[in-house]
Amino acid sequence: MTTQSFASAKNLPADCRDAVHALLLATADTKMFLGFHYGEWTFGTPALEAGIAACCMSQDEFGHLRLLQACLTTQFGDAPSALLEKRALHEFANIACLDRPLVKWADFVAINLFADGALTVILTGLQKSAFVPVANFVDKMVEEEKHHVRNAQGWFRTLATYNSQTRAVLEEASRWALSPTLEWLGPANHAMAQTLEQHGVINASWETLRGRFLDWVGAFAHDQKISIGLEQQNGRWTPTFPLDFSQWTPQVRRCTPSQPDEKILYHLRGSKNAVFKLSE
Amino acid sequence: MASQRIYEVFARKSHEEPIMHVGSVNAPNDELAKVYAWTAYDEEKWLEMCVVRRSEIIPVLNPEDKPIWGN
Repeated sequence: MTTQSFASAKNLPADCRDAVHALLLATADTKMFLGFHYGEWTFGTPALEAGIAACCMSQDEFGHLRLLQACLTTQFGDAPSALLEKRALHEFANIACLDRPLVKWADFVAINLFADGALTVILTGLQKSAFVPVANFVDKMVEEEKHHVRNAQGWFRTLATYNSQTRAVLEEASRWALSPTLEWLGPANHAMAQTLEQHGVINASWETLRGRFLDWVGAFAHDQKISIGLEQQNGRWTPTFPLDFSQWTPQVRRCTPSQPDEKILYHLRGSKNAVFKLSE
Repeated sequence: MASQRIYEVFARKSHEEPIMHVGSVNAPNDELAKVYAWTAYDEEKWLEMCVVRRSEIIPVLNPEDKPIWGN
């Protein structure tokens, strides 16, 4: 790993530049969908306080999205419209469990723990990044994400211990959310991840970051006696279900072709109110 | 949902001011009480915040025999 820092994207080596761009775009996409789902669950939560927390987390995610999109625009020259309005559905690189509306509260808890949790582990990997524009904002994101993790763990524990029905629904939702989250994280090692580590953009190998996530959620779910499809092998938590990364690319981070629901994009793009959009 | 407890929320904005009662939240456990306190009372830039289970508070003076913290 080099100790050189990069004040702007134009200083990055070409292969590293592409890798940083792909990672930031996938992170921004996931935060956009998380923000949408959290915002939708301002209402209909099991408690008023849970709705306030969901709304607050939605604001955090959209704030983070704003920072990431500003970085993509100023550092990489992405046109703002190309990030959302003019992008084909199959190009979005969000975690696939966020593609559809969340049906039940346990789904919310599952995406909060697994999807948001995985993203937070990756954000911690970007702390003290050699790519200065990211290093400048990532600490604030990680600080705010601590509350998201606490919310996820608090609700996971609550549903895991309340009664057999909430336990069963939580287990089902966890398995539904974990697999696409691991798809998004990708294989333990790939060329783009090696480039990111080699140039000090991330502070650990991708395998280490992925392992941190698995060890955290594996041990946590095990403590709550919830079976999520992970087992411990030689002290490390690994999936018991198959993941075929033969078609996986760092651009969309999915093992099989899939895309978000057009209705969600309709809301995120503000299509209904397009007439009120001010020109740039 | 899971049995709820009432937690009282205390906070202060600077080292110079005393910690004060800012409100309360209902939560099923301490972990969620911390999240709810943080998200429900985020209108100020708090320096310090803590939650206390209402059941753990021992009243010393409460002449009217009413709940001292509201709700």
